[in-house]
Amino acid sequence: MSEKNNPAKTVETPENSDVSRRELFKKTAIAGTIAAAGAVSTTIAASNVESGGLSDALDEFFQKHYQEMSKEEMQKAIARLERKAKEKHGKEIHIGNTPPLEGVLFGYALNISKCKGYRKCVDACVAENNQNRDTTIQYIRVLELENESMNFEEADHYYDRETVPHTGKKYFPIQCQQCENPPCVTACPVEATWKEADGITVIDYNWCIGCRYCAAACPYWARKFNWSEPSIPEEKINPETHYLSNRPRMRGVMEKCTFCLQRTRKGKLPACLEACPTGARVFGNILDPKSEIRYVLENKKVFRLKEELNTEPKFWYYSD
Amino acid sequence: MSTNKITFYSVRYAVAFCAIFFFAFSFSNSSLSIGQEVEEVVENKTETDAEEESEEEDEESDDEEEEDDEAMPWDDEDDEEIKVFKFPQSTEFLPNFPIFKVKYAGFPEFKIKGRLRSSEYFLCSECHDGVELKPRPIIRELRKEHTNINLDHIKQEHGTEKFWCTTCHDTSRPDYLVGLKKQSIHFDQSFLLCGQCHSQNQKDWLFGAHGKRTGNWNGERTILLCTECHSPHSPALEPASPNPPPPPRQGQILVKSVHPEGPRKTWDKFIYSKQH
Ligand code: SF4
Ligand code: SF4
Repeated sequence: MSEKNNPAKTVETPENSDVSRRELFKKTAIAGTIAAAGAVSTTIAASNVESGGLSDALDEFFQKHYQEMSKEEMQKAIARLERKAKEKHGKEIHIGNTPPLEGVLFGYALNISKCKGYRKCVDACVAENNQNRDTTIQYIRVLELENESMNFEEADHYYDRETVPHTGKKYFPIQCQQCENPPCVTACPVEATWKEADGITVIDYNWCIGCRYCAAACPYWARKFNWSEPSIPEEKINPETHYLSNRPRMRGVMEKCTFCLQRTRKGKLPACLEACPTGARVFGNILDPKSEIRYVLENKKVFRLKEELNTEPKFWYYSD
Repeated sequence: MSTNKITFYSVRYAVAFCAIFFFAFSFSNSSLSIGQEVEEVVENKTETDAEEESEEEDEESDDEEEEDDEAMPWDDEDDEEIKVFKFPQSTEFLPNFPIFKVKYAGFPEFKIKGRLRSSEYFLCSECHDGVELKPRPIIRELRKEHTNINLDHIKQEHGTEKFWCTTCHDTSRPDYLVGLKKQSIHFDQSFLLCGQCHSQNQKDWLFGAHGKRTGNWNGERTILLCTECHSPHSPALEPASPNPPPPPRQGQILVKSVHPEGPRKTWDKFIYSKQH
């Protein structure tokens, strides 16, 4: 498990990864399938090497876990996924694979006395992360609470007001808290979700079996399930994606906020922060003592949600 | 910062040299040509140092002849481009104002993404030109071009009868703001002005707990100026309509709380329809 926590290493040194039992099993399975499929399908597979089809389907079925793929396998898989995405969405989509940055642990802080409940972050997130527009999967939930209360049982995230902030209410956005000790990872029976070196909990959508254990385990309602085949209007697709983040998903897999790692690993700010009209959000590297987030952590009264659960979220709330 | 200073001084000497040159050889020329020359120098400078596009230029030698034709950053009024400049600016641009005298040390360096966002009537000096405004001890009505200004900032309890236009606007240099110690403050450095009262916010802004960073989370830090979000005359953010709420999940329905002001809950559609 420890070596798994550094996928970059695993990916870059394929010769180190010895052939596991699972791999052997898979290889025999490939052979078995092809043999069973008979001469006809083998010829189909051979003729479709370039254009996809059966060979793609087989490749997809036997695609390895993200952390166990070698560099070449990764490239092949990404090329195939890009091809498929183009077929499905009619648009060129780039699936990146930027590894975590050295010496970076992402943290987020949110000033709840500044948040006014405009929900601009919610829509920016949906646009950035290619969520299904039919069922309106939203990673960010803006809770409306009584001003004096912290009772989340009484929170309403379906508030529909003429104008916000409504008198006597406060607003409290929640999203994946990128727990340092994530219960969702422990819950997953197939290790389809794990914590990256920069502290982001990610999901390999091709490895996820859709059991939804993780959603039940997450105390912050952060995980969202694709109940139906995601549909996004072509013009609304964001073509800049990452394998572990906002690449097009399929039906029956789990997804969640990744602090926009397709952006943040390239130095950009998360889409929700950029969209926030009140400047309530602060993002940065908590290992950098000069960063803004460290100032907030050291000088503001910060708290985290459900601290008693020992999940150690890397998402802090503070107020002026 | 040091390169900033070097470029500034070199430009200053170049400007001074050109001025001397012109005075010597074409003293009889109208002040307009001098002004043009100054502008040219400024252009040259921006070409050589493209990064500091909007570095302002202000003549130290405020000759009366030159005053009309000072090369100002806002000369080109059609220029909608956002002005980005490195901080601290040249000391010359803040006459009699010790550069960056804020109480807090150790905040990370930053660039300001500010803009001379003002009424359509800016430059102020086009109307209030050269004539020193005499502050009068009575509170007056806003007139003429100023009627559409929302003055909530000074109408609040803490502001009433305590400050007025000239508390922040310089009477002798109308294109500048003025601090409590009568120091001129450039519009793109309004945080020095706001921080006089809102020091906690200023501190948080300098360190990054207030305000908004743009572009990146590491590397060069560019932050928005106070007036990008707050109208200086009515700084509180105004209520706005939120984006639409998410629909309840399939098979569920939103129902009213039994409490009159309570939050709505999601309920199973099927069960709800049987109950009602
Ligand atoms: S907030 Fe939920 S989904 Fe995110 S890391 Fe923690 S447990 Fe996992
Ligand atoms: S839904 Fe996917 S990620 Fe979540 S526990 Fe099941 S397999 Fe793991």
